[in-house]
Amino acid sequence: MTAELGSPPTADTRTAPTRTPSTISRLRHALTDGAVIIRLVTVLIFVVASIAVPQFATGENFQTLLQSVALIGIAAVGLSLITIVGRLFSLSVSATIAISAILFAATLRWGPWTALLVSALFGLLSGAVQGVLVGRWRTDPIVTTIAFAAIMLGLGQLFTEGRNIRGDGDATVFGSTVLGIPGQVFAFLLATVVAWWLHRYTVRGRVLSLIGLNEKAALVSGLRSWPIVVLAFGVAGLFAGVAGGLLGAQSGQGNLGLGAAFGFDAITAVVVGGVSVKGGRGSPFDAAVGALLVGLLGNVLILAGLSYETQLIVKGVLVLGAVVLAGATALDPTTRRGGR
Amino acid sequence: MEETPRTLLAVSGVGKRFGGVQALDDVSIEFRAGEVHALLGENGAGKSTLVKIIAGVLEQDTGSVDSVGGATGDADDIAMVFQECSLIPTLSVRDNLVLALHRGGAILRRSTLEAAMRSALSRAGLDGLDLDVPVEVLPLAQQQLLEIARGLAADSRTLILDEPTATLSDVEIAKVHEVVRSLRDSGHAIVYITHRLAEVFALSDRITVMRSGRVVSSGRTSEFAMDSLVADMLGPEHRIPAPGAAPVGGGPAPDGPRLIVEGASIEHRLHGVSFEAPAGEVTAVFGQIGSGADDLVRALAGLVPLSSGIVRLGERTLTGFDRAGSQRHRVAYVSADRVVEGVFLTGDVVRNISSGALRRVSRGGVIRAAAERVLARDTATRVAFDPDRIHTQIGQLSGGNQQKIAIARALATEPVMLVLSEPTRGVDIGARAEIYAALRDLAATGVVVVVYSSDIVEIRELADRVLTLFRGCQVGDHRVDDTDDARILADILHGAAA
Repeated sequence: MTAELGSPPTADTRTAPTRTPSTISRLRHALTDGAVIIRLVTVLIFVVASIAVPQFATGENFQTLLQSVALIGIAAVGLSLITIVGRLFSLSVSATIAISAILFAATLRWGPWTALLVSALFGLLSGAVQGVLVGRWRTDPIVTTIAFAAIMLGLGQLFTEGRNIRGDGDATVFGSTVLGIPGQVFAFLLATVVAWWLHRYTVRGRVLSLIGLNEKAALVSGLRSWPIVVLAFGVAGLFAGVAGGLLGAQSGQGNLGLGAAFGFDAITAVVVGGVSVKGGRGSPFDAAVGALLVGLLGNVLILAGLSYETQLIVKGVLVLGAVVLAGATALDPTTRRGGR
Repeated sequence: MEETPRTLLAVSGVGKRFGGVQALDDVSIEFRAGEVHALLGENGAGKSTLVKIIAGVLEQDTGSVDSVGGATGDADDIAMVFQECSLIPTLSVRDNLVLALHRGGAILRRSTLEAAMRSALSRAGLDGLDLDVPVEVLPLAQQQLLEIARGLAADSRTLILDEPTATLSDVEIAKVHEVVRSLRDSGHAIVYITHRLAEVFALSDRITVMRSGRVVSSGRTSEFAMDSLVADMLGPEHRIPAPGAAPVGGGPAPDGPRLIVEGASIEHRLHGVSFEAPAGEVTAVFGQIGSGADDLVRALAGLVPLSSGIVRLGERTLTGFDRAGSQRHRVAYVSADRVVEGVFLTGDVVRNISSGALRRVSRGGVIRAAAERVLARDTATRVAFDPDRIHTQIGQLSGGNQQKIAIARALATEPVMLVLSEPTRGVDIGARAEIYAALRDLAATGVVVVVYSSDIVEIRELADRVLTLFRGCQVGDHRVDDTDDARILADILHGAAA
């Protein structure tokens, strides 16, 4: 711990090259990094499946795979911001998606883009309100978002009277391809790149991570947490709203049962992707990789002929595995005190 | 009871190193039944390290600690009573005591427990205390006595009391003393750590003074006098101010706004403190735990609101700003608690340094990585931290280097005023000197530097002026060069020493 006392500052600070750690120590570091392990596992499953499962490595299957991942991925990328800022998860993702899908179907007659905009704005607004509660009034994020989900679903029930809302218009524009990529998949890639860039390179993205790492230390640096928490919830809601709108476009309808499993899948993607539940560590990109891994696994399991029940068990085990892994790496003495 | 006091706890030849620092060096002390043994020394003398070794929290490198009194075994035979309460505030008295009893078996018999608790409480002078009230509603003195009761509930023969009276009033102190005496008379060995020299003479049977990890003197209390005790604690080099060691000063005062504090008060903690701190000087606020000195600097940084009073920095009024607001007015703060709020342990040096100065290294809300690295390297150099190591994770650095980064983080914001709490707590001597140099350099550029410290040696080496506080009230305002340690200590002990 005190070995560095022997190394005095070098005279010329500008031109001295930054000392890089040796390859071995970097490798050892990488192998205890949850996010890196997840990426390796993703590649491994991909390779094994390509060899072992005959129908896997087909263009048609890849398209199915990406399509199935895209909407969950969009929601997960947004959700990761809440996790990074140290507010655990939102449990209102499914409800937001269902209501957004209903709104999309209900407003489709004014055109697909208007309908998508309405869905997105609804998500943004509902997320921001939850963000104000959690950030400004310091309510518990889990309880708040559960309560909010109940309110949204209740209002949805009143509005639809439990009926299925059919889309009255043409939403095929979102089914078409962009640069040869299916529209939904393109939206997923776009959402990932935008969120990753904002998190990685902007001041607000940095503050998001700093607050997640240590809120008190952030305050000493003069960084208020609540505006960033509102922002994180707002963007997470926006992304969920977009995912809901696209789901409505895909199914041509909206009802309260639509996207019910998306919330859990998004949380799975965030955790499995290696975003630290304690906040601060990880990025939206990790969540996107997590979504891919979960989708990949589901796809392989279906092709291998396993039942829905088995898939569910595998998903649960995966989340537990990721949490245990994060706990194990957190026992490293140099990082142990980093948690709140 | 025995005729000759029996030794309950023997520390022999204990040594402990932390990296390059010898925290304890061949320490041997015997603690006897029926005696109050005062353990004295300045901060950093090694008292708390020794106590932690005795309690089994730390392990010694050399030597041994033998507990010879009890029948129940080592761990149970020594009870620690900490200065800051280790009780769980929201739990009831009963529940806190149950935690201390740690009896075997899953089922606790209520009647047996109740009897054991009542007996412990009554020996700690807390007869008739309601077992069901939450600890947090009790007055501080009762909480402190409850800590003692907790030690007694565990049937400990040796009690270590770490500054039990630091936060108490005179009446409450008398109560604690009474309990300590009655425990002594019933055959407990009591290790009593305190900074209040007056109570040492009133209470103790035996005194051991430590300095720089060694025992410098030990004997019956009757063999000591106040003067010799202070001299033993401070060491020869601090009895007379060292000539030519005057910090900063000398040249013309640099330009910069002046800090003016008028009647700063925080309810129950701080009562009408007024002082001025010119740019270019390091002003120290000195006081014991509970003196309000810590609260004063936290208020200056915007972390605690003042209940009344005005804080001005040059033309600007700073009163009423929270931390984020005062940061915008370029008041930077370095916390005493590195782990909790000082640094981002899992972040690297660059991110730590830039965290308060993101505006300086960004354009249009986008961080410029190159500018951020340059800022980190330059600021690291100012606090004598190797700029080649700016990509290291903070958690992997030594305490001294972590503190340098905490200070660098404040410097990076280009403060007009820098407020620090205990800037070198847990920092080794080498890094300490480098931190002092960095802070003096900063003051010389026209920044107001205000430091809270409970370490008189630090104030000597770092500050130009020292403001002394006692129980929330201002006692004195001295030029460090024109006063001696005894005078400053007397202030914060309220005339008890010298």
